[in-house]
Amino acid sequence: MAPIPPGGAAQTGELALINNRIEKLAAASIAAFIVFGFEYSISQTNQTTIAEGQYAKIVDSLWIRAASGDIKFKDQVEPSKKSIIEMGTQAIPRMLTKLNTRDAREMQTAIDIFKGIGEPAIDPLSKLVNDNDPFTRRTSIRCLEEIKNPRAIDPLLTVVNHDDFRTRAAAISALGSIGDSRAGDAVMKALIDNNELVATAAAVACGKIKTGINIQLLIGALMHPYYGVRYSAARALASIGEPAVQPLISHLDSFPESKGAEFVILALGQIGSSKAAPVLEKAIKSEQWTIRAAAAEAMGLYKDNKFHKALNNALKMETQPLVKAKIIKALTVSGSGNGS
Amino acid sequence: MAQTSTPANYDSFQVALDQALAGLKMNRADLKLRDDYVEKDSYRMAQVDRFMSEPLDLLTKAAELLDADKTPGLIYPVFREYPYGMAVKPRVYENEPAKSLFAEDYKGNKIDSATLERLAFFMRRAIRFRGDPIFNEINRVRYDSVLTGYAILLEENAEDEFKSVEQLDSIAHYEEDWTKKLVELTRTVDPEVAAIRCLEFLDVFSDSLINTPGEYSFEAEYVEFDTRFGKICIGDSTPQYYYGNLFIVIDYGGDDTYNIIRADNRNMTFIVDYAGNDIYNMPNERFPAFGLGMNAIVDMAGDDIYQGGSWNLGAGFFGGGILWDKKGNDRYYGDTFTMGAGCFGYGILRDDAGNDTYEAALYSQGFGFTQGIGILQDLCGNDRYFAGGKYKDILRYADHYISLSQGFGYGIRPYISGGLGYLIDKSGNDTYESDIFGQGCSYWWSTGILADGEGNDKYLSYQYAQGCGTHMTAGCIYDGSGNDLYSGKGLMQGVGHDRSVAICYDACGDDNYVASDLSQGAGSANGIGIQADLSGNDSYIVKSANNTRGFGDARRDYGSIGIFIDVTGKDSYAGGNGADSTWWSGSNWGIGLDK
Repeated sequence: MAPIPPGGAAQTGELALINNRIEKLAAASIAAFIVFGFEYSISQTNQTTIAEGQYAKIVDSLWIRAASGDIKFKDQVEPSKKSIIEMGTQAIPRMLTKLNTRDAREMQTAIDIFKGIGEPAIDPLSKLVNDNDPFTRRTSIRCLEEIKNPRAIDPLLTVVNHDDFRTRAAAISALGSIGDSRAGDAVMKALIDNNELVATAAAVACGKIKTGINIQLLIGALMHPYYGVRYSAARALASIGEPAVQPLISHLDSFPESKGAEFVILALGQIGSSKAAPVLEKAIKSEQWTIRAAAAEAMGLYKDNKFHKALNNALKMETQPLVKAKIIKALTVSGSGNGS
Repeated sequence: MAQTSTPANYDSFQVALDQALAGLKMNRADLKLRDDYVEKDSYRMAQVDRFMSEPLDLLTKAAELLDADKTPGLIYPVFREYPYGMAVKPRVYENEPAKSLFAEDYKGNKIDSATLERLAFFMRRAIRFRGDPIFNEINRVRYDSVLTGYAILLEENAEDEFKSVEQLDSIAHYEEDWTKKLVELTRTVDPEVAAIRCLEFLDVFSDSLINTPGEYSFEAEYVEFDTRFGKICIGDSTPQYYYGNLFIVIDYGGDDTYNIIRADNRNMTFIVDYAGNDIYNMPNERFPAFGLGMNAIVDMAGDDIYQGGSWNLGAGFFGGGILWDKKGNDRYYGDTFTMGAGCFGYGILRDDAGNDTYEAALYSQGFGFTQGIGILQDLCGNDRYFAGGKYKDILRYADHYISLSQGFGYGIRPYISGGLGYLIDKSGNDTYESDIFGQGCSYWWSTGILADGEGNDKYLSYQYAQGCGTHMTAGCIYDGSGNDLYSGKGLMQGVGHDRSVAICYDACGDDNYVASDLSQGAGSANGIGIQADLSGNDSYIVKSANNTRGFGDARRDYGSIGIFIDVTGKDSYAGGNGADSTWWSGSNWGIGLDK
């Protein structure tokens, strides 16, 4: 019995059909390559003599190579991407049709190409951020993220409450990468999204936007049940820097061994403010080994050797192997000693 | 049927794991993955989702698989949570006399009553199976399309390495079109039906008559007659040559040769061979002859040779396949989708004794594709497993071959979730060899487990192996005891890549681990990778210090989780992080403990 082929029409001789179809498709592609091939396209893309429709064929031919993952064609990947990028606005209409791909390699290729094309692609990409096709929607958002132009903020803000959490996460991530404070409210709201991936994207975005970000909200995120949020919030606080120091110290003073205290300590270490020295020196004497480990790690992040004495004293007393390792590493990295 | 098996040294593992997580500022709740990083398709198996959300269940599942032979009914526990679990319930057959089942086809009186009952065992099930509506003409074209389509998705061509970029691209897009069409087709047909019906044939493992070789009285020379399902043959204790469209063969001895020729699909073949060194030549067709059908071979004794080609030797493709060899040093040869492979069905290859050799190219030796379970279960003997050597991995290398075998689960990214592939070897000093993808590994929303109970074993592979998950999926290698060797290049020995989870767990023995990079407890692209060795004096060698032994990288702006655990023993380390009786943390999201 013959299978129903992809086109749906009844056909007989299934094996012959399959083989013929593959060969025909291959032959058609080869023909396209011969006419609108690699060398040709590179040399001709800037000439106005090429008809509009032919750009699509050139893009298609280059696209096969640009998105190829096969090891033997790897040398053709970057030159093909470059050729499409050099086509600029003429490549955009055809490239937009590639955004519905579900193939991860093709997605990344499209993102690389639109990043290269840059500003002229913003408007056409912005029209797709609400597309019904989830892959078109999310990949267009990722393209805008890479272009990093504030003109994309308004269209991106239209999808931060999208039903699809993956779209929300992509939009928040893109807004963070653009880094404009106009997106601050949306990003902070996303920090308490019930989906942990959206919240993680929001924490990351907070660290990139910085201006106007509510520090207490980020400190609260250090206790989030998902590690992605906790780590990202700590890094965001570190990125905000000095304005976050006192709130972090106050929090640690009030709740020295609370859930999330390790991340408060980590953030303080990443900031590297001398104001935090007393709380870190206190933390390295904590009864909780995880707090001591965090303190040792934080001390190791300081550029000077102000914790030389505290670390050495701690090392003499320490028995927990991870804390010991972190103290030794801190002493070595900060130049406070050889850690022996 | 509820049964709980505990992995060896599990308590000490859990203590160490909690300490490692605390060292990473994490807890057990962080050791979870979602089931919806992409939109869920309708093929997702519940067990796959469970392993994603509860990764340690991979270990209890591995222990359970090793204990499966202790349970009456043998393999039933494996199907306890199978989507078709309810169908395992035995259904009552009408009490029709065995003889009347064959009255139209056989008028003689040479067949004794015990042999008749053996024939009836299969005949009753075959009649019920073929009475299902999936076999009527209205459904035939649709089911054929689904079956052929899935076979094409699994078909590889050794000539691909010579094709141009355009040819490969067009083939890729053609397959993508096929996949989309198959997704549509399986909305209108129920491809699980055949698998559900075939579950009744699992009784072959527990049927007392089938399994009592000494109690027969067939003394006639040879009996053969045709039925609507194919040829029925009964052989005495002399060597026989069985050829053609065999439906049921009962053979009581002699060194026999089987040449099974089955055209088209929907076939059923059942063989019970009680003694002799036998040779089985299975149908060698491009598409599965037992697709939407069922085949079972039970060979009770002798050193046998099985030449399976593709789609055979315990392969269930929209149906079921059982190959059970109870004694002897046996050799199994196959190509693709073989030796315990399932797709919309189940495939079981069980070998109870002897030093056996298993050689295949691809999708084999415990391979689960979409909505399928593939199990290779070897209970004892020093066995050798080889998978690869035929289809080049043209995507990554010029000189390596894809295996996707030896406890491997596989789905079609990004359209169709995969199945469950289990390779279980209970004892013996075994050698496992794969190349790219194998040995407790999986790809795209599926699960692969390699569970080895005892013996000094060698695990050899090049990449993506020995407890590895790639792209939102789960993989596990579990070794209960023995002094073992794990060797390969990278992405192995407990590596979860791209929101996958993978565990490499060795409960005891003096073991050696060799790898180059991204191995030995590594998380990549938001994955979770755990390597745990719970006792013994072990040695660890890596080439790269940057991404091994408790390493988690940053992707999508946050971390992956990599945990390395060695509990007890005097261990040695070469290259990379780690030393005996120390803890270390070389990356934000990675940690190593040697206790």
